[in-house]
Amino acid sequence: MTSPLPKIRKSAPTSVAEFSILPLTLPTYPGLPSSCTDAKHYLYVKAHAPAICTESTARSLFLANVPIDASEANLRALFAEQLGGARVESVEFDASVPAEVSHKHFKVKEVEEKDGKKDARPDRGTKRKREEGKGRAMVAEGVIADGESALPRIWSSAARKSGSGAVVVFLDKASMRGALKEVQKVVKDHAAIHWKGGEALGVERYRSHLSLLHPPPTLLSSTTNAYLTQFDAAASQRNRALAHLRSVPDEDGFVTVTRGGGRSAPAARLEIAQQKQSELEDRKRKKGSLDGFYRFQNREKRKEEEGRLRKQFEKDRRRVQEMRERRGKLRLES
Amino acid sequence: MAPATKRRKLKHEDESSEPDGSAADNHVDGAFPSDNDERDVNDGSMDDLELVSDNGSSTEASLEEDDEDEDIEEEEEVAIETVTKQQRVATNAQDGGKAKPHRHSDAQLQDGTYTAETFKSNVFKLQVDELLDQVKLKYSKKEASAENAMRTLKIIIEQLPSREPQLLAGAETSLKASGVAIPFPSPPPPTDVKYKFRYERPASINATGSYPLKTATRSEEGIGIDLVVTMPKAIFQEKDYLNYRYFYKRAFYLACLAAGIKKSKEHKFKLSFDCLNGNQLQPILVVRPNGNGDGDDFSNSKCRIDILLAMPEGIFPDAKLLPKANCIRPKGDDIESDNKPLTSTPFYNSTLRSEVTVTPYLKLLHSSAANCDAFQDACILGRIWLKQRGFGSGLRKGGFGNFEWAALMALLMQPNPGAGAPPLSSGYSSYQLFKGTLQFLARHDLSKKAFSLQARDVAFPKSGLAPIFFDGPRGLNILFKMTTWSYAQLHLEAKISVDTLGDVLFDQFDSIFILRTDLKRYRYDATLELPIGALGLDPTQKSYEDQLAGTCQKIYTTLIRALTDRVTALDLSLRAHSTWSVTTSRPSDDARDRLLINIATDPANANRTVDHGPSAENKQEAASFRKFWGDKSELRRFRDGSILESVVWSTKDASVSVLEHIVLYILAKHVNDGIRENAHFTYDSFAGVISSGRLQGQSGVTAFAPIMAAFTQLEKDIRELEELPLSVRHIRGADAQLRYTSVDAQQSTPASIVLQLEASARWPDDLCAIQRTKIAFLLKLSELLSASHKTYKAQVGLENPSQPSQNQAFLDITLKTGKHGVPDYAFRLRIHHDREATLLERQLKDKTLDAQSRESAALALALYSRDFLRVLSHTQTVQNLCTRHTALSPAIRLTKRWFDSHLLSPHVAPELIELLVIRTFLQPHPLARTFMCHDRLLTDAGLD
Repeated sequence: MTSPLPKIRKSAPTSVAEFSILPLTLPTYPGLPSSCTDAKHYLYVKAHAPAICTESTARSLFLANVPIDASEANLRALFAEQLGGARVESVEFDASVPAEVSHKHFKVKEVEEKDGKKDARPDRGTKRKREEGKGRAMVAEGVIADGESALPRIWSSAARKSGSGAVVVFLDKASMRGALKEVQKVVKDHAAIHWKGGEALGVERYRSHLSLLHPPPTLLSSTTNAYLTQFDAAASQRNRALAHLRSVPDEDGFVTVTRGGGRSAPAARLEIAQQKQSELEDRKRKKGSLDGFYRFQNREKRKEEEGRLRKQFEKDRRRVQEMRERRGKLRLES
Repeated sequence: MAPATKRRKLKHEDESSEPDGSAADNHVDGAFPSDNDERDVNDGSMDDLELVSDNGSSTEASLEEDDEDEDIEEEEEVAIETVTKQQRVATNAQDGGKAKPHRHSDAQLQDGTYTAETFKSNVFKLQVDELLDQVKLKYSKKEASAENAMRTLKIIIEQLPSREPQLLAGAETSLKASGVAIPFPSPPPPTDVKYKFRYERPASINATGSYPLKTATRSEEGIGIDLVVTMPKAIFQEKDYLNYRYFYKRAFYLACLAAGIKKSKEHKFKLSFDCLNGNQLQPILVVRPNGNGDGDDFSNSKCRIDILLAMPEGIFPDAKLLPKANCIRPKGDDIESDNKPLTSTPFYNSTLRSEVTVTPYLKLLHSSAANCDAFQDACILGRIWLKQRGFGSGLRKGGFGNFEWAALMALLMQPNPGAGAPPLSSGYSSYQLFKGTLQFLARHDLSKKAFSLQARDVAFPKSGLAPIFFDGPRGLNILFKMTTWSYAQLHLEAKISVDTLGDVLFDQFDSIFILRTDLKRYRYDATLELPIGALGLDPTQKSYEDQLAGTCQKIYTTLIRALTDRVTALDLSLRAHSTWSVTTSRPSDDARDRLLINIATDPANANRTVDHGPSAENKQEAASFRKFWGDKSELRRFRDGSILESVVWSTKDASVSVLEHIVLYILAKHVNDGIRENAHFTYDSFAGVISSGRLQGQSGVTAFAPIMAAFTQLEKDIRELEELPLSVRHIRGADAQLRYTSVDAQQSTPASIVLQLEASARWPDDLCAIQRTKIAFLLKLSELLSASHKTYKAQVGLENPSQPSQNQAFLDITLKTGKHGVPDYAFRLRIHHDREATLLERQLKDKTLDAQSRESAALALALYSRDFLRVLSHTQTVQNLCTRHTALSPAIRLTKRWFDSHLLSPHVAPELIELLVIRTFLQPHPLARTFMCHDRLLTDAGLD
């Protein structure tokens, strides 16, 4: 958040809730108006305290409002060079542009039986270590692309969404504590911290995007081939796992219906069900030709009709009532 | 007659329903017993609850009206009685306690089953009820003050002394002394007239019009209550129907009334003159409250009392006043000469006739209201309908107002021997009466074929195209105040409304009654403003009114002939007259006043550059064509070998439309030379805002022809590629540029197109793998296309990098035309594989997937159906509509432009904007169908 008015900046608070507010001086760019030359960006820092803790929670800091050009590298540099030299193990961002590649997954429970058959490839695409159960490695469709099969990037670097957060994991608990103390000290002393921006933003970013948008055909062709080969292997593996699921009844005695057992099986079954339904209706209709045979039937029919009219009328009246409430009194346009 | 006797008589009548002597009372009383019977029956059985529920008031209401016929004073007496009765009824009902709510709901239910047939729908009926409830006049204390004032006026008028017969000069001076200028119509009476003017006590004084008929509605402008003073027979002679003599005597009589009221010491009113319906032959006296808060002040009633004059029946022979007769003899020729037929004076005759028939019409309306329960409600519905369309009785408001509506409806209920059953029946519901009347107006073009009721062998003048609805028993063409164009407008509006009411999907209540359609900007596309002075007319001249009417008619017929099918409606309008003080003579129009000529165009023909006339061999027609067009007409040989008289308009000057050329040329030639300099023509003024927005002799989609051609070429070339692994099922456009709706016809972004291949079992059954397979396919296509045609440049591009199961790639194809001045066209092709939908749906239902994955599947499915299904069919539909409605494409583009310039485009999907505009084209109710684009924009802006 840059604030162009110096008056407000002076009165900026140093902390809010558990966050310490760390002002970063943004680099100046040519062409910016003079009022923006010493613009500040405010980074909110606190110890990471999620609802579900993992092994790394104790040595992590949570940052809110990270600069849009933040990356693992420049955050690492920020802590190493300007904030007491704490060493960062990894950084996890919560909203990037373009977003991380997201895959579809099975529920963890469903895949638990399939033990020891963890996908050979390490999960590089997502770094969600918190969630990474045994089954996470197996995706529900396609394969997780590796260097060989991944499509070329169309953005030169990932940017962060404005105002998004990040979790910085340090090497050990001590360096995390050191870093947090250093931040608090800097905030207290009003020391200037300079933000070193990431790769090209602005028009450069879009220019590179335009050129990356159309990758060379040879590259596309090779990644596609690699992907499809990997897919074939992964698909047969997945099918084996699912076939296992298919044959084993669960605790309630039901066999889980999964896809893959013959391409169109569920669809075909659905069609059969629909056919049966329509046959039933046909039979009912044929029976209906006996309607009106007894006098009571006619009477009931009339009653029904009357009831229907009454209902319709009531409904219409309510509708008009609603209309009146909505627009007030009926008024001629003038 | 003293008030006391009146009261006694009334009571007498109330008790015994004994018929009185006069014709009016006879008629009126005829209705009485039936009313009473009905009440008796209902009271006895209590079965027909609906009738009972409002009978209490309706019986009394009719009672009251019946008396009004006879005398205003009685009316008030009864009104008071009515109030007390109603109160009594109310207290009874409260005493009755339990019975009431039950009755109420049952009555409503019956209403419900009943309305299904007699109303359009329950909702429509309920809304109509609510509307009637809103607009009906509550005859309350407020109005009572106006009634009081009327009683006072009546007493004043009755006590005015007679005046001795005197010649014109004497008459003028005697009135000038009391500060009243006689409102003589033009031409004013010659100074040497031999006949004398006199004033006698009036034969009767009545309230008339919608107020006593209980069809008046509340409105912003206040209510006008008509007080009719019937002049005595004694002051007229048999020949007075000739040469304005009746109207001169009438003007004198009115001036005497004005002088009398003005002179009254104890009662003060504000007086002014006006013209009845803007007809200068019929001045009337307008009484307004004095505003000083004394007993005569009726300001709080928001009423205005109009004192009209009527003529007793039986003085002038009816046959002399038929439409074809002549009543204004040429000068210096007072005796009828048989040498040459005299031109008929239908307007003069009808005006005079309308003075005679005031009371007969009042009787007719009252008896209709008594015979038909729904008559009054239908009158009010008609009133609202006319008001929202800007029609009124005034000559300059169309000449079709509330009276004409009510009279038309009453007459349509009368049997007409030889013409089958009457169009309306007294058993109809108000909605049926309303719709039936509209249907009559929509079905009959009365300006082409006159309609006469219970009248045989009545000849009508051939000249002009004024509509005729001749009421035989009363001998009046009730549409005599209408002009050709106002009738055409009424006819059109009735047609639209009948169509609208036929809409089964929507109830269209709003478009019939609530929305106003008299805004000229919405209704017309082009406007020509002409100062009256430019028409060569001088408002101060004696025969100005006649000349003006003649000129307007001439302008209308000339324009209709010149513009043929370029226009769908033409309308001429002038500012209406206002009232004037009794001390001055009638003001004339200002020469700077503008005559507005409004034109609704047919966009397909409006700017056609060539008009074909008759063939050269047809000598007579060709000559008339040449005469009409003057030197613009030329003989041309056309491609099909025909040689025709024709007129060609140049489009060199883009700022002047063909329409403007024609209108100005033809009016200058046939009406007045001065028109060209003084006219102000407005037409399609927003056309310049978007590129090729002006429909100058071309259709609205012409600007997109090159890109459409390029697309067709591309499709053909792709289909011809033989080495494609799968053959092409179809290639369809999915972009605003390919449905004629992008703001600029010039291309700035590649146009999206979608390619669907024939079905194959070799596709993988996995979304991510399908996307990768598509890439392989696009690579192949790109290779083949660039190899087969040098003009194509194709490159595979990537999208959606973070969603591997959504579409990953597209093919950008640039078509290089290589020709100078013709731009390159770029297309962005995506492959549509219908298996994706099935897979996504399956994922949605798949319980083994985690919630997040299913959510992303739902999103992907929505995107899939938008990009590969909806947008395609939308494009197809809009394409068709744009070719069918010429103005649609420019209208959409202009609207998008508006969204752009208000920075609203990011928030509103372009498809939605298109649909909004399309709606106004497909559901134009209550407006007519054809419009130019800028009017659409305005309508749209109104909607938003």
